Amino acid sequence: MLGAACGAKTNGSSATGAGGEGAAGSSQPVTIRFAHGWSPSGDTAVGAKFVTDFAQSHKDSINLVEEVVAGDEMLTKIKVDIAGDNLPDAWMYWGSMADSGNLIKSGLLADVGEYFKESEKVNQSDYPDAMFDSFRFNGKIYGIPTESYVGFWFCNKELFEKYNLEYPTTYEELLEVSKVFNENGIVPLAMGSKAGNPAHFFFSELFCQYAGAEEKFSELTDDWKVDNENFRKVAELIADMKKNNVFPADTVANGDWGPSFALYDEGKAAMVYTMTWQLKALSPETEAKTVQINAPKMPGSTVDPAGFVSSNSTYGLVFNAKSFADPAKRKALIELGDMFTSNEWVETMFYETGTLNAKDITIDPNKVQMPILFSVIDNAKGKEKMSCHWLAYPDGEPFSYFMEKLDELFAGSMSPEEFSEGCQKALDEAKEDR
Amino acid sequence: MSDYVCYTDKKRNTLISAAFLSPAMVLYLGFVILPIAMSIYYSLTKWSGAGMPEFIGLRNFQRIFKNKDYWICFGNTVQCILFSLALQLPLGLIFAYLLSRTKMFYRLFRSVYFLPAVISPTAIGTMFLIFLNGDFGPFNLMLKNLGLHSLTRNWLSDSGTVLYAVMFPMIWQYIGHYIIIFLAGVQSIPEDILESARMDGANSFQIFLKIVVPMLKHLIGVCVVLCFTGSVKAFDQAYVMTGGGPGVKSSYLAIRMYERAFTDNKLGEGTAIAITMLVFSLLFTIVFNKINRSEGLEY
Repeated sequence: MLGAACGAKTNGSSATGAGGEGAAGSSQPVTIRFAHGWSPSGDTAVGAKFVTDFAQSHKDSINLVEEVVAGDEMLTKIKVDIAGDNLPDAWMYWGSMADSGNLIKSGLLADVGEYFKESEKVNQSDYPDAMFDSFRFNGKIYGIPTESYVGFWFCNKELFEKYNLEYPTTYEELLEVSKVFNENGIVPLAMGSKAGNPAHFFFSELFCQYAGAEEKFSELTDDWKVDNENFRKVAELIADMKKNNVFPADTVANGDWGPSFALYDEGKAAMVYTMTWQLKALSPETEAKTVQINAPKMPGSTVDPAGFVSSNSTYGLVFNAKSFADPAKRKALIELGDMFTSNEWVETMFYETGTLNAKDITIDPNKVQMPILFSVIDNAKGKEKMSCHWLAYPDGEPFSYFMEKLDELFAGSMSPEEFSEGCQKALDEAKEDR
Repeated sequence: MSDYVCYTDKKRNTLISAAFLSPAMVLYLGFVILPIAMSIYYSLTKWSGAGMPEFIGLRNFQRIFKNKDYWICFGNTVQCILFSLALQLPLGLIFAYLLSRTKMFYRLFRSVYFLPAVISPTAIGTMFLIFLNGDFGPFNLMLKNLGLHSLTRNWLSDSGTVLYAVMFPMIWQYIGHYIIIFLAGVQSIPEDILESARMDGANSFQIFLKIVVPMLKHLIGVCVVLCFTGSVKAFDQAYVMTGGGPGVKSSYLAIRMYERAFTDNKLGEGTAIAITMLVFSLLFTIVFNKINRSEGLEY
């Protein structure tokens, strides 16, 4: 109510044009509810301090109410908030139609293109256009990407040397080294699937090795078609890898981000395929033994894995459309957005926590606390950045099916045919339901 | 005149009773009956959470009953109920009886048995996730060291074992809960009854079977209902350990409901699943209470 009343005074003024007036001319600060996942302890303390400092420095004009919810619980919180018509004014969220689609299609998220137009501190062109892909719908963008990732394949040099093995460059070589590692009680590749994590990224990495991946992404988004030759080929490869014990035997217990990466970090697995945000969990001892290689070339693939890297942004800041339309709150939200798009935020988060931002910045290698992160980013330079196959899913329900059934595919309890047909059927049913 | 006085007294008593009951009634209506009524309404709608729910009649129920994954989850829930009833209650009763006869370290044993029940189910789930890890978990290692290599499994990835692997921690965790309830029941049996049975030559097993169990019949009935309703709502350990997977192999109705409502944005369908759970619980409670109507032993 206060926001609306204050808004009437500054109606039509741009955020930056409101001068130093607190809450658009009122002496009362405008209340902004901001949901994020940075708690003041542990890995997230740096982010939390930024938010606290922002609240402190803007206390005269903004009463920032923080709602801290860790990890994937944010998805549930926001869904409950939608049902209760109690959405925060701004929150950190995941892009893609699977996660944000319902919010975007229901008109609950603000077009952040307007933010970029009104902000005096940042331009949309400061970000590579592809970084907005997961927040893009019908030509508009609905989120400011704050984090990005690069996929990589690591090998434990010590284990390869111990068993006198070469790093695999082809699928056949991958199977050969896997055989030796299995004979010695070592898991060849730390890759499992629990609720589809992190298997969906691995699936996408393999998918992009086959010709026409990007056209297939469009087919999935526009025509709701997933069951194609590339999709089947990758499903068959995963089933074959399972048969040849490339993965841990218990793919559910060793699935999910933490457990699968822990296998590699503890030296129980010889290789890992994962994303840059996992590097925080890499111990210095394992880092010293780590070598990055390109993903082995899959049989019949036409795209050289050395020529592309899986990279995109899936996470960022979103604004409540209703709040952004309120002139008083709009000014505060633009200021909040300016904090997350500032070079100070981007650099501090990168240098101190290893969080890769979507914004283009020049990296100073001397400031990087995790040399291996710099090496991964350096390795990605000049390569084609490929988005993820699953980001192209047009709806949440068939995407959930894909994630759920990946567990079965990895566990060997579902055939590649059943998997492919089931994923297509889930899409057909969801389309019909709409 | 006396009739009139009696009538007004009765009326006044009724009003006083109503006044005392009304706060509880209002709370019960507001926090139990109204949400159930609203849930019934939402189960008849198509609703993603955003915007207004669209009334679609029984279509959500048709959809869930046609879906084979729902029936797998239903079957898993039924198995969870049966195993819980078959293991938690008898073991709880036996341990409670043994505990009641323990003279040394009684308090220690009582605390130890009850301890798992007060630990967060999430922590229990995580503990068993590590314990049952097929590649590096202590359980398989223990089996190997005992020469039982053939019994090792990928407990959480194998379709044949995963349901029992997620069910076991839940059953184990809440045995202590029933031990404490039954222990209170056993301790309330007058000592002279047990003493006279002993004097008549009854051994411990006979006392347990012929005196303790019949005398706790009503309490056992309450525990059966508690155990049933608790198992219908089973969620935490399975969700933490496997997320209900692989696929829906270890998923219960509560997990299915959560995923439909909060992962797939199908709040109407999720609520319809919740309503089926409510109906199963109500039907069971009504049927069980009818069967269990006969009197137990009085003392």
